[in-house]
Amino acid sequence: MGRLFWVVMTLLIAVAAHITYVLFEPGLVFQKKLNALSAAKPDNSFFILPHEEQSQLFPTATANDVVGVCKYDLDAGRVVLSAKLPRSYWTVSIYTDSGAQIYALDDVQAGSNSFTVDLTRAKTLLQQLLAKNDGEDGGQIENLGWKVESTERRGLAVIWVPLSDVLMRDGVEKTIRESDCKLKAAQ
Amino acid sequence: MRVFSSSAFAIFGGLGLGIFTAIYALGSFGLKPATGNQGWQEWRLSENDRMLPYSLGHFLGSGQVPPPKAARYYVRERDDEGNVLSSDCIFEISGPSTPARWWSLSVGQKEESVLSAGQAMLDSAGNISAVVSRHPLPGNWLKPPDSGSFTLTYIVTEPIKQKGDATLVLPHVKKAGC
Repeated sequence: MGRLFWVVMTLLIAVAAHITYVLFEPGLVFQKKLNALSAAKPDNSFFILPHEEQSQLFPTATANDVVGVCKYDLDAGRVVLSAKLPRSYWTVSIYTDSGAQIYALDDVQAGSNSFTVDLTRAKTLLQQLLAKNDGEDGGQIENLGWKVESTERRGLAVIWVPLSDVLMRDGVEKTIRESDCKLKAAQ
Repeated sequence: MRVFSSSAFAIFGGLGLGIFTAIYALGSFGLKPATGNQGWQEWRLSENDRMLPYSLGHFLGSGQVPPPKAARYYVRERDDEGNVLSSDCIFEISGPSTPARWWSLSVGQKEESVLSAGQAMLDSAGNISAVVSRHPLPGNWLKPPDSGSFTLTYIVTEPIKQKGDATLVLPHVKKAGC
């Protein structure tokens, strides 16, 4: 009976360790990688990844493609991603810090190669309950394009432009460099 | 004394077992055989898949964001006959071009060589054929790592839905010599 108890205890600890490791360890590795990748770049700024690094971060990208990144932090307000993209196939994907994809857009869905995405922090249940009907949104509707709410404070917006010829890279990079990612302080 | 040793065994044994199985599961539980495509395995990225945490964990643990939801991510480590994909041998890849907005076929863990939708030369029937070889060969050529075995990765982004059977037809891989 005593031996069975310890075997069951061992298995329960194993299950708990398994679940904890699967749910948390990969996210920690990813955050560490993200911090190292953009150590020289401040949050809420847009930059193009060096081609040797882009497939290490974005699995569908090859070394020929162009990948632009905005590492956002919604702690101090909303973040507006203004994208300028070439007339070709591209995707915009927005991820939370834990790797969940919360938004996706491509050239066909957008219908335009120049647009903005407004990133805000999703309201908690308590904030929703306390919000008044005439609250924030009513007087502040702006023509901002798309609006995305994130449940997490930090994350990553990735613009991916696959290229058929590496010689196109300079021209495409020049276009994408006009994109921007800026913090708009909370009002 | 006996209680102490038993509880130490339960704690350390349980932690070790849990972590070991988690590492193993992150590398394999998110994979499933690609339906109708012998040898290919697909990462389970569907939101409804019970194995999704393992798939997401696999990519995040490699320091990558997970592939976009519109992408299908396939890998294989053996040819159609079950031979390990080895840099010492030449492998032929052939099949119909995938109806998708974009696709890429890459060799090796660190993407030593890539062929993509925009670069690949197709024959008049729209089929693709490529060869993986250490030495350059005419046509679509992919260079494997300098030594050892390698993984072939096929990523299809935004596949275009076909009438009837929605299964994607992926390329065959055959050994052509060593």
